[in-house]
Amino acid sequence: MNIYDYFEDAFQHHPAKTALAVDGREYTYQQLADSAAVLAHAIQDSDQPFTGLLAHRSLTAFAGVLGILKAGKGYVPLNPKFPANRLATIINLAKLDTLIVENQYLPLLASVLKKTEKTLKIIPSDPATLKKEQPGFFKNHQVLLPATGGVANTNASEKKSAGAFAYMLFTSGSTGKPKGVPITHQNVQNYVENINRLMQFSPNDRFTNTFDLTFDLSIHDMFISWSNAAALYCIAEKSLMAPARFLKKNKISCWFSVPSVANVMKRLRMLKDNAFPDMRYALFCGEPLLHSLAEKWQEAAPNAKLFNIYGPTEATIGISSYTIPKKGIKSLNGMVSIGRLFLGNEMKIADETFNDAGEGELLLSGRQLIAQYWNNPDKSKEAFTVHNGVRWYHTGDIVKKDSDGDLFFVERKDFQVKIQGYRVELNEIDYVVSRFTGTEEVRTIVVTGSNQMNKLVTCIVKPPTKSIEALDVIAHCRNTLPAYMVPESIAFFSSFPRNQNGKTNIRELHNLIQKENTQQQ
Amino acid sequence: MNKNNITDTLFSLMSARLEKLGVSAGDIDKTESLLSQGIFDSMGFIEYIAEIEEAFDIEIDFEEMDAADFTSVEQLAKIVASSK
Repeated sequence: MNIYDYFEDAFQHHPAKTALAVDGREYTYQQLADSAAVLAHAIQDSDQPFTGLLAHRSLTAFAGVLGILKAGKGYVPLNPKFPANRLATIINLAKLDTLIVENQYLPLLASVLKKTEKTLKIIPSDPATLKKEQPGFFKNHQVLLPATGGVANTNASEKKSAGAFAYMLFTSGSTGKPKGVPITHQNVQNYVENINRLMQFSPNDRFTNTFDLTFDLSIHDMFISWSNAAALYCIAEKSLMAPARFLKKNKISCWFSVPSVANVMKRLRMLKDNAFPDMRYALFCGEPLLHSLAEKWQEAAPNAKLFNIYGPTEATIGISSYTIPKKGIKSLNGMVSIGRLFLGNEMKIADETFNDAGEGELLLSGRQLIAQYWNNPDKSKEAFTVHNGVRWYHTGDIVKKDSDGDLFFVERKDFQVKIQGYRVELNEIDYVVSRFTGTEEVRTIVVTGSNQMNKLVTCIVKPPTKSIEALDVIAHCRNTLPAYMVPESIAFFSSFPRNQNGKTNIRELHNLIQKENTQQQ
Repeated sequence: MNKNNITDTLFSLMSARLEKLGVSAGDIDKTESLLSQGIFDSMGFIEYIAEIEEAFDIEIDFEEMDAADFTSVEQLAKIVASSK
């Protein structure tokens, strides 16, 4: 199947229903289908499996996703909040030859394209408001103007085989190169079927969209709402941190966010008893959900069923779910259970030698798992192993299971951590800082502040002869890395503590920084 | 307390943060979100709100608001003035 068909079915049955609310406007299924058709038509000549999409919380962002899928391509979201260098790297790695861009990001694209390798076809979202000088930005590239009068909305999407890609996201990579995670239509289909089996949505539901397109939980927002012929309400960037008024005004019935957003709302006392009586479902994913926060949300949304969802990008959006009961929420170290695996997938909790263990790394296989990283056999080899004929993905998450079969997240196996719900490989920050400062020994660590939030501190061994300014390092990171990967502070050392094997003693380094942090507070 | 005094206090409460970032108060756009200007992340902003409430001895009611309603200096000054 092509996941575009979830949208197409709803459009065929409910063309006049609201499909999307974004930027203060509502669009019907008909209007969204028409916009998607124009973009699908404009990209149809691309030779590559993926098309880029530089758009953000706008009609173009959603019509772009649909148009690219309709044309039988997978989309690669390009987040305008990322630095130009990173966007260029993604365009190069994905081998994009075509991209759709929202007009307001044309100047950004011009600077991105200074660092790209291939000639690109650029499709501006709105030829009518294109300024005269804008096509001139792109000397070596071809600017294609989509049809202004609309195009015939040819029947359903071009049917794709189950192996075709729906989208590709890039996650943080330890050598400084992001890893491409290509997801097939079949991967997404398994997720959508599981969610729609677990939860009873209706065309009257109003779903939130809190996630950027570069976060795979946005696929849930779009395709769970559209597969139910419901309406998707995209929250504006500036309201996103704490959108109480938005929820009430739009009578949102289905909420989905990282727990951090809920935590901010709690701290601002927005989660008063029965604050959100219209809410029927509330889902959380992306980082550990605290027991106390789940209870608080239940009080604020007493008519809502709560779910805690878990899953790495490589396993497509989410691969397990815990139905949070009104009483007796299961948790470990204050973190709510991540529940049971979705149908169509298999798991194994393994120790170092691949034997089943009570507590160990979670390995996954099945319908939601990617086959491999995009053009990256080394990383694929690291992350996947074949055992007794089954190919397992190593999540790097240490979990355990209770006697009912419910899973609990224990901790990350390596130094990969989550900051504001985003996955961060600390090695990647070290790599960037090390290259900038010309020093060998750089270690970024995570310390926990008094508010239980994670903070990045980059430790640098500074030779006495060298002058390095902390502010310059942070400024460089800001220009090179996404905001959530920029260290909060820099700590200079004359040497790092070592363990017996002569390796940097990370635990000791962590203790030193944590102590200093606690003293400051 | 008049509005100028409130604004002065709002700036003084973020002075340590500004110093750390190497930003002077004059560079801040009072009508623009402090988050989109890179002064705070969401958790830093929450701490800033807590300091504002303590300094003015008020409890702000955010229940009917979105973040877009209270993240600029000007918006905060208005909210503080009406909460007193």
